[in-house]
Amino acid sequence: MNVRELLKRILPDLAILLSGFLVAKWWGILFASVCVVIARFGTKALVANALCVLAAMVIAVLFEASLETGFAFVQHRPVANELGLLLIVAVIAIVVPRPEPGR
Amino acid sequence: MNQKMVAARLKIAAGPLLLVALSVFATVAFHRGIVVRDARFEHIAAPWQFLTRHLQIWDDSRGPGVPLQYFSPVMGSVQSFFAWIGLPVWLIGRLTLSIYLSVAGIGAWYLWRRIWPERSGWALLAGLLYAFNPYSVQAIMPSGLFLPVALLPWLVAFTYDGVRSASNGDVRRTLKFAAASALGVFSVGMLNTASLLFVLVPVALFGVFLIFEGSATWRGLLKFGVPSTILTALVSAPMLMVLALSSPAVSRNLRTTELPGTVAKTSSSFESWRGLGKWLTYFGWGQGAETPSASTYLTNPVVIVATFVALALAIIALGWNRTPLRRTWGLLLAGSVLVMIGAHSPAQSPIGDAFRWAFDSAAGAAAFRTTYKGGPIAVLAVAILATCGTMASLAWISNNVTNRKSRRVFTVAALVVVLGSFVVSVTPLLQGTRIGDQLSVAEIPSYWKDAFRWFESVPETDRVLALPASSQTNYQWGSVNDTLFDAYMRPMVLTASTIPSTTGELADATMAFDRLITDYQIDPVAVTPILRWLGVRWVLVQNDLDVLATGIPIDPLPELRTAPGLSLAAQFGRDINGYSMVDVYEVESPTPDASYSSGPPTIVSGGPDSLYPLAANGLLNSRPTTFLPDLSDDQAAGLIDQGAPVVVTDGSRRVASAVADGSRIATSPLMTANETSIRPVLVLDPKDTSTQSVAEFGDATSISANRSGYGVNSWSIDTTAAEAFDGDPATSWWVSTAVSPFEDSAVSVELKTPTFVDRVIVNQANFGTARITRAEVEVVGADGETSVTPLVFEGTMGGAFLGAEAKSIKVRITETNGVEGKFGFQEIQLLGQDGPLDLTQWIRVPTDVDRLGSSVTPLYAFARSESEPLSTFLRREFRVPVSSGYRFTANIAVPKEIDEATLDRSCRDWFTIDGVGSTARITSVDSHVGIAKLEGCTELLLNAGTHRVVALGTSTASFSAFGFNPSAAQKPIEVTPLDSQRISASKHQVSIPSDAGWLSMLLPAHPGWFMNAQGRTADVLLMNGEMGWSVAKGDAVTATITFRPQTTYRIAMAIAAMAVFVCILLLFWRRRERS
Repeated sequence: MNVRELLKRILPDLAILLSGFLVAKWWGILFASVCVVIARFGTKALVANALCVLAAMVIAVLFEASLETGFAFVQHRPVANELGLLLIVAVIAIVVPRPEPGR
Repeated sequence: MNQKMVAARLKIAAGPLLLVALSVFATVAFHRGIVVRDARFEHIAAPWQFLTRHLQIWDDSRGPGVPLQYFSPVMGSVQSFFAWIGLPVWLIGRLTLSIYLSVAGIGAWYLWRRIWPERSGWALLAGLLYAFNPYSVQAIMPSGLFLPVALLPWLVAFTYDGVRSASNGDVRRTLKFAAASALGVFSVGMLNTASLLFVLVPVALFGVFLIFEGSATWRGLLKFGVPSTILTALVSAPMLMVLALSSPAVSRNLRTTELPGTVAKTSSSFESWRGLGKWLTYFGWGQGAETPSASTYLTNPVVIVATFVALALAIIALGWNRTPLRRTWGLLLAGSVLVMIGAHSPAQSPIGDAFRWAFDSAAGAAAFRTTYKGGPIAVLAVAILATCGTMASLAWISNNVTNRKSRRVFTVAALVVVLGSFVVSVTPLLQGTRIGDQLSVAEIPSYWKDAFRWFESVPETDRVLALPASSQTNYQWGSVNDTLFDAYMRPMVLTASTIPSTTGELADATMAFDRLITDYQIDPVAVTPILRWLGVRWVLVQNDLDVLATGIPIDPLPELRTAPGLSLAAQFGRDINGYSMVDVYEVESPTPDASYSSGPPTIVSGGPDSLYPLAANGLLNSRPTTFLPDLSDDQAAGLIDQGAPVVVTDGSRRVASAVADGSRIATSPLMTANETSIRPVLVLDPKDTSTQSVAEFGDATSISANRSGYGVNSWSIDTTAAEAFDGDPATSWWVSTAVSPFEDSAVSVELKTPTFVDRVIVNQANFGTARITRAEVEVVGADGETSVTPLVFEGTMGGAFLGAEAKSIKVRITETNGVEGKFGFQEIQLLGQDGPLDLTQWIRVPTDVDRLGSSVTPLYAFARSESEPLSTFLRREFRVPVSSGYRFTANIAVPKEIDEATLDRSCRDWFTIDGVGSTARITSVDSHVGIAKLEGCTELLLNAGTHRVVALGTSTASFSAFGFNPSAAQKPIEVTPLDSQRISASKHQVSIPSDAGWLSMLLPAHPGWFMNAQGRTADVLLMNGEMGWSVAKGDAVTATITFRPQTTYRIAMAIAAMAVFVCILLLFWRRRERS
């Protein structure tokens, strides 16, 4: 495999890892690594991954703190916020073009 | 047309018609007959006036004058048409909202049909999801911000077709879509620039992404982008001028409202994903929320889940290979959500940190701090993708569920979930509660109509000062969102506002006077001179304001009733107690439109808030003033050579500000020179502290307080923290449970150097039975270590032994006895090795008089400030450039019922200078206004250098103003009115006599004004915060004063008109059919 092909192959993964770091720092890069692995299983797996993050985020929104009006609603939900950032990475992982979009 | 064709067309039109019907239903069906508090009231109440205002770029119809701030001739025309056919104000407002929603929905419907024409039946769902979703529910009002949202799908569709046509070499269609884009931007106009730019940027990105999707070529993008940009720029030419000229006023506003920190507080990632996160959704004063209908998005679990259903479908669509442009939509969605989140999580996200850095550091970036405006492209992406996701889900059911009955059940269930979540997500709009958030009134009270009718007979160039001011005025009968005056008042109305209708110093002076006279008691003698300085001829007092909503006290302006030179001209309406609802006062001998002084203006060291010290000390007479920070050294030297007096005041106070309760501007206590604020107000030069009055403490760099639970967590707006350290039993620092919880409210002292502090002794302020039961002292030592020591109370006295080197000390309230009321400390003492630390606040007045050299003998004029409303002792530090003889003068407020015969008129120690007692005596008393005049018994020799003066009031005689007059008398000048005429908003004429002199005009200062004095030399010199010129001797002439940008604006309008015409031609350019 020549360098050009290698680059073509790893560039999408690098883009996901970089976006993971830029969006959500260390948790982001960790999650991006997971996405890179999941990407090997194809787009459907990535979609399932994003839906799982979305579901986890919604659950966190509902249960992380009491449901009340005011600034407290957004300030007392660090897990939901983190998951929301990771969801951006998950979406980017779905749409980043790949030479071989998995099995 | 045959029946089939009609049916086909009706089928196509059914989607848009349904969107229009739903929009009209959502906005018109509920609370009929009542006006909603939307963007600018005058746009719906006086649309023709709004439309005609576009002709002049200097707008003096909404106030004394300011560059035009809004540009939207298309919407102005539509609203004028509604008014012309006789629709009532409430319906014009509602139809405006329904148009915006319909245009948004039909735009998404149209876009879908362009990108997936084979499945055009699904376009309706895309249109519904784009027009009706949590984002649009929250963003629809103020509607000026929503208009670009409505434009977005159209621009995306035109870009899609335009770039593809250009890539295929179809010039006609390329130009057609370029013209359509330009007309779209022109139609929206400039009601909110940031919203428009947040929409234009993703459209450009969409064009680029099309290339990566293989739908277009770079060449095609260029071929479409260039004509599109050129045409858009041409149709926007006047808009760009309006933007350039209004940006200084807008950027002033950026410093007080919607600060980046406040906006980012609520833009969390999970809220941004469902289109929420706009800070007003969560924000509210006290227990209430700004938009109560939004509570369903925060408290109802079913609604919360429903708002994420469309997103889930969108994610499914991202993995469906039939989704058109799925990568483009995915990237735009992710990018847009990142923008919406903005600076919410700087610690977790490097991009969030970059946003925060940009807002804090990059010039102009703060204009884009309201990152929720970046949401429309995310909403559009979700609408398109969720429609695809629904199709994908149904396709999956169809392909994978083999049992027919099960398939039907699954299909119905899927549709119920999609449509049900859609309905639940927009319940505030479909149930009318969102409209209910913004309800105003059916009709304004008749006494206001009478008042406006009365003002019809007043010349339209007269200035009316409206007091008390509030940007979003809450009356006892309702609110119209901003003010009534812009829509209904014929003369010019001057009023303090977050977006002032006048420029720089005049706006600041208005705000300073409004705050001072509304929130505090001032010397009535000072009122009329300040009104004359402002050019005011009438004062309109709004007595029907909602006391609870605005925080304005009942009867806040008693000074107007006793002020000399002010007479009651009219009253309108009566409440049940017989009190008038609207008062109108007339100013005697007001400042003429143009006047000519034989001598130079007074040079004032201070700022627009110096008017009160000047007037209270009798120094604000007919002679105009000019502020020292506005003058170059040469200008100042020239004026002094010609005999200009110099007055040093304690104005230009270094304070920060924020929009507070009732949309009034609240200001912080006086800050030290080292304290920085991103929201300075009323200082002419925010960077140069020598031009400002600042706080100083002997042993501390700053003393501040924070109020827990307060939305803007930067200072306590209740009282000044320094009042707990001034040794004055009349003052204290306190917080009230009425506004927010008291726990964690604290006073902080930052010491200049690490100092040994042995003990802290506190004395509670006496507010009835309310008592602090627990408090603690937090000490940050020289090594950075923090320790906390509880205060031990015995009665109202408390103490704590520290015995530590301290860098900073915080005294925090942790518990009270539960009584509702006020809690605080009258005195806090920090005892060191050598006794109490010196923490008394001195107000150091501006020292920029130093730059005038040692030949100047200034006057000194000080007055009680907002930072010391109850202080017995007023302390000032000032600099004297050259040793001179001075006489102390002062005004003290005395009880009106006092028997003059019992007054002690002997010489006694009324003040100290540099710590030495000095004598003064009462020379006269005006029992009508309750003011006694003091004069020093002997002349003082003040040596060159810094001096400290303390005015020693008593419990029955408090100083309102004091100062020092030099022994040498000032040379009087003659001020004569001149004939002048307003030709138009941007053109005035004035007859100038042959003598040399100083011309003052009632024209708010702006560098665009130019005077043609027919050959006579005239140099610009700002006077009374407005336009002025020093004019050389010559022939008597009629000078013309013009606002020069008006000529360019006319050209820009002509260009835009031609460009619009060309665009329309291009739009209807059809290829000739071959025979």
